[in-house]
Amino acid sequence: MAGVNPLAYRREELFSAFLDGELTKAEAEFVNEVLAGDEEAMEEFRGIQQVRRALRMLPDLEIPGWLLPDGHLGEQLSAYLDGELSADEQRRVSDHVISCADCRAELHDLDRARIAVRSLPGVETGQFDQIPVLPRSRRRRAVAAGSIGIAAAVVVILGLAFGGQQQPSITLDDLTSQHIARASAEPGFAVFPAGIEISAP
Amino acid sequence: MIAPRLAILGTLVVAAVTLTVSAALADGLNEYLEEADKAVYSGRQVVGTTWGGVQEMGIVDVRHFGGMAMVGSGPAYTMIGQGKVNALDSPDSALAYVPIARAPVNHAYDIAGGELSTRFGMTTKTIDIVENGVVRMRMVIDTATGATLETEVFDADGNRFRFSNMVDFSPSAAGMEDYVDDGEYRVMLPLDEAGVPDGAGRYRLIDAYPAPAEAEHGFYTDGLFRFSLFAFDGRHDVSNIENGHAWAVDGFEYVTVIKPAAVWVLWNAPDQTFALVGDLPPDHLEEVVADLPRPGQRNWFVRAWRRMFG
Repeated sequence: MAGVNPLAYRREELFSAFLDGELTKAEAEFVNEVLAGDEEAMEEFRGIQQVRRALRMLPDLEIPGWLLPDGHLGEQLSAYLDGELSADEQRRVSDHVISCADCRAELHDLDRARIAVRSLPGVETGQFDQIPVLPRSRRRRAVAAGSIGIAAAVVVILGLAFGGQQQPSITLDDLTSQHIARASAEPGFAVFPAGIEISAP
Repeated sequence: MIAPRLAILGTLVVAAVTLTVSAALADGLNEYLEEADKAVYSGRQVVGTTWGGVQEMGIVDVRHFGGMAMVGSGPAYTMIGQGKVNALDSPDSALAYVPIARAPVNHAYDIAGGELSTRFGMTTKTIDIVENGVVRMRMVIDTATGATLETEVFDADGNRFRFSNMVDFSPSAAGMEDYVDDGEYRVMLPLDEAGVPDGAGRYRLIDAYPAPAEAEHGFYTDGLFRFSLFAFDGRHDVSNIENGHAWAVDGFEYVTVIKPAAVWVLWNAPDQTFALVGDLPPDHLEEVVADLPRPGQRNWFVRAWRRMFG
């Protein structure tokens, strides 16, 4: 280690960890203080950023699937659906699911099962013995009621044909969230904050 | 045994060289966009859109770290990035999208510019994104962090219709790391089969997802601009949307809502209601809506038949 300044080495490690998001809040605040008050440290920080940018621009070489052991995600998929993974793990699972049809299908199955379980109805007692039977003596009234029913049906049909049956209004807030979330998966999201609700200045 | 190994090695070397060359040719724009997404910074951004005589502006505080942005103003902050959105004051509505397809960059876009200048005491580079000889987007990038300090977007005639400016900037994002992993997200998986159109204008469908009210959500991009199309069954009322403005294309009436960083377009087609939101330039948006079902109504007999018998 002769010739290496241990303090400078420690600072470089700290900056790298800061950029990787691996510091505690106190450590990150310390780095911010150092950067704010030391021009030389800021230069070093930018140097590290530039090296990392250059490294990131190197092309990725895809390893052929047949060279890898069975890399399917198994139980991680369930944890992914339940939102129990860290940000790094989520990213890894997302990247894998994009390229692996088997895991994608399994994710769909898991999601469907989850939705099915959620939508199971509560158990209710049967009401089969309470179906009313129309007595013969009421047949006349039934005919009259039938006529009224037919007239009502005609009114309904005319209403359907000429009335402007509208569904409720659309609220844009939920849709905005969906658009923003999906758009943020594409490169360049940071260039424009894609439709985020912003207050007037 | 040596010959097969040499063959494999040779193949790998050729593949690596090919990848390097194709990356250099095709991904210039993507590199800038991806660098912007990875940048670490915080600041205050003014964003504005001018559309059909309407101008909307807003200001937002941004902290960007680990591919996620914490944006907002006042106490209402939202975490956004990598397919996720989480409003910190409403964590039950957090969403995480699984993107299945990726869009290639539209080769109609070229990169130009590259002039160096100074902003906030930092060296910056100006990049023009050009389509058929017309500058469509101009970005001023901090060369150290890769963050975009200024962006301007232009219509087909070269008029600026949207901008964003950092009015305050720092190459760090203190405190943000506490929030990056926060939140339980509702995972949104793409639909196996999409009912929304495969493409519109120069944009193609990337993924489709379920949306509220049994609607379908199609996400489209050309690699630079992007939009979401929400298709609802039936006719929902779009006439009373707050701050709606009439917008006519080829004699058809649409309702637009102008936001500082996006534009909404809503309309009723005969069987469906559409809501489109995106950051497209006006001429792109006109091409898109021209390729989608037009506003209109069925005649009374068909309406009655469909309502009674489906």
